[in-house]
Amino acid sequence: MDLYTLLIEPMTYQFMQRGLLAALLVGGISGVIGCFVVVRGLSFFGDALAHSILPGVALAYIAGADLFVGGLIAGVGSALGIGLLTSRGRLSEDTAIGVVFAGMFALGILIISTVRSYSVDLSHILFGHILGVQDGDLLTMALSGAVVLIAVFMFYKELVAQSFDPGLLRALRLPGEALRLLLLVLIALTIVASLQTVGIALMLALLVTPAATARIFTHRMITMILASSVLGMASGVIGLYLSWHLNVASGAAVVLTSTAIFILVFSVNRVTTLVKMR
Amino acid sequence: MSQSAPSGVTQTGVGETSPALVVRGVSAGYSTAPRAIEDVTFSVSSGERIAVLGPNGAGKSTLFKAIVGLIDFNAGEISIHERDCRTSHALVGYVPQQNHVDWDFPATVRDVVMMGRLRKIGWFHHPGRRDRAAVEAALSRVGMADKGKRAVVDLSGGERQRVFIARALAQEADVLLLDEPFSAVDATAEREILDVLDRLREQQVTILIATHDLNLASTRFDRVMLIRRHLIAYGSAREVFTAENFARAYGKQVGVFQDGAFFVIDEH
Repeated sequence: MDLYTLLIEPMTYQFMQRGLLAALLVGGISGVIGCFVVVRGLSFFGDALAHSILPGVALAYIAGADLFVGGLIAGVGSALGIGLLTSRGRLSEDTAIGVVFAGMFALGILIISTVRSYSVDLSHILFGHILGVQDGDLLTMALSGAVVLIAVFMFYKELVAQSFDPGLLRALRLPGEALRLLLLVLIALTIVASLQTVGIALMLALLVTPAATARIFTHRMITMILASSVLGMASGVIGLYLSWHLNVASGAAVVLTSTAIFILVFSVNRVTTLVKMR
Repeated sequence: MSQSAPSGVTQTGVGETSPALVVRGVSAGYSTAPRAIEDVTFSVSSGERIAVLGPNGAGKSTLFKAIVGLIDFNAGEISIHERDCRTSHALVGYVPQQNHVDWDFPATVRDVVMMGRLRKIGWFHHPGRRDRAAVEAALSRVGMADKGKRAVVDLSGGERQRVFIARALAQEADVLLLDEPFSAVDATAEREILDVLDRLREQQVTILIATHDLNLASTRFDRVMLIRRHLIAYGSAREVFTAENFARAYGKQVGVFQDGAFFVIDEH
């Protein structure tokens, strides 16, 4: 196989061009927000949030409204709901997430079951459909991504300090609780914007895997974020090409690519550590 | 002397310096235990080092959290250098218990100390030359000047305590509250921390330390405070360490002061 059929030919199709842009956007943004998810141990929260978007999307589908708007309302609502339930230790984070997640997901299934013939659109929400991305979707992703990146840039030092030691912000009389909710909302926005690429079921991997990989070889938040977003974009692009050439589901290919990179980096790191110790 | 009456006595202690910290009639707690401390009154002079003693759950951490602003207090007043603490929290540095934060965080020593400057830097700004200078100064004051680039995950227990002390210094706090800094460190680390604290005392930094180490409290501190919800006693170790005070603080446990060393006999 020559270079043309390997890299160029797939991109002569417009759906592949759009898919590539989507993979870059989503991989980059999830990589950034994912670092906060990883250092704060919010994996369960991320997974739950992705699932709790379902009722919003289902309702929007039935009403013929924009699926993104429906998902965003359900996602931000769930994020704030979980945030408020756990505020000041009222409920453990684990418990609050479990309750909200299960309830919202069940509600989504209930709503879907009322539709006699729900089409493939909803299954795309569950498993992603990166090759079906339209120009309007790309615009939504780009705008959401811009909001997320600007917010992270503006509140960077506060978000990092709040992630490391929430007590410090309270002692300094800074609004740590508002920053925590802001972060949860940013995670929700990232998830809703990314859903179309890998779907609810695999969303967590986009948030966690590139960031976890970056964490292995970085020791500062800023380098971790840069590395993680590059890894996220690389996984997206490589995964997309793999799905084209192997003719397999694109969402799964993207996720498995980032999983493979994680395993590779983890192994190399273990081996070099062992060699150094000898 | 023992002091438990809410008489509003402000003991200015040694020297003629003004009090760095005044706590008057303070009650504070949590929703489950709204009065974990009750009607606590004392004052601390600039540069003094105070050991705060009491059994587990006596309210040592609650007292610290109220002073630093982590929890609201529902009665009384706290002032730092004669200003209400609700407006001048930046002057109080809090060094939480070590297990309070996740040390596997991607940050260098310098990054963590810089967090103390958060308020000084201000929203939407990045650290400037003054902030970096303050961080370096704080690091040298705790003897960590050469370790600024180290990842915090690689630090020893004693070094972690010193990083947190440096963070409080970078915040420009001159009243430090340390919550059980010796509980998770070995003897070497304990000595390192005490050396740092000795140096800070020469620079008139006021320090309150919650501890369970009665020997340390009786030898390395200017005054000791015994609390169990109420302030039971406050003064020099000789004044405070009496069988009567200990019975009130520790219940059935009885303390014995012998040849400068202190023993607690637990009857269980």
